Amino acid sequence: MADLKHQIPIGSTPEKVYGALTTQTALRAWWTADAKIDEKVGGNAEFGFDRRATVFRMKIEKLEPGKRVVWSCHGDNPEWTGTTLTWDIAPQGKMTMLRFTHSNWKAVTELYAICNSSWGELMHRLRDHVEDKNPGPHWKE
Amino acid sequence: MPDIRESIQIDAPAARVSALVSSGEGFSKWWAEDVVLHPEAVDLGFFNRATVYCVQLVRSAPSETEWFCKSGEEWEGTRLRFILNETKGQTLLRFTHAGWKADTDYFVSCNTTWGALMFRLKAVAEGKPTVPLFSKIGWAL
Repeated sequence: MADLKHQIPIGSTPEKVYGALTTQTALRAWWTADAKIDEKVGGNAEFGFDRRATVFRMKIEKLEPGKRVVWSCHGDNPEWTGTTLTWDIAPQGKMTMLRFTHSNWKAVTELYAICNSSWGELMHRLRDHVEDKNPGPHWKE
Repeated sequence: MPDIRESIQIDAPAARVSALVSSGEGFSKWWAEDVVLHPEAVDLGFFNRATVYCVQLVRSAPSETEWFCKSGEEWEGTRLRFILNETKGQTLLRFTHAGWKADTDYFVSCNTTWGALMFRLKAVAEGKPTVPLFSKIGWAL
């Protein structure tokens, strides 16, 4: 099993970072314009990329306001199925540290490395969104 | 010893990507604005030179470039490897930042930063308007 780990300091509050991960409007502003989520524990979330050439289907497992968000992935990509995405939010001085782990990959593959790069880019877009710099989503359709 | 692994598909021939990863002038287009060129080595400055990395060119071939990091508390002794595979004018770039002593917080932060850097490199190679991720004083917008 392999994990992807990321972290980034964000010049904002834990509540605002939490908001960027838990509302459909925010997820559409930094990740993909094609995001649909049921904003509650047990709700489903769908993220489409490149006109739905790829769709990631998640279930929202945990929502701890200002602290933690956990999603489980159920498809469609076979390498993503069975993985868990955990977002941990904590104040750090005047900033907020966001830590992200995409865990339970079955193997270190090409897609694993490609996703690692994409998550790095996405963490920066998420930060810029929370800091009101309007980066726009990485995937526009 | 942990390694950082990135992978990205670039819509440009390998020669164009190679030029961007095998010289300080190349680095200044996507990585850091503050570069000082020495024979076979480059100093990269970050945050008003609060951090300076000196990297020495170990080898540069059309499909592989390697740099040795000579400074930086956690970077010293690590290696940057850019491996390029061209197919029909497109290049798959595999990047490894190898030889870290430990999987620290800084290792995770650098993993995130390298992801964003891969996308800056891709944009420059593809002729899209962008600036290096680090200006002389901080993060570029």
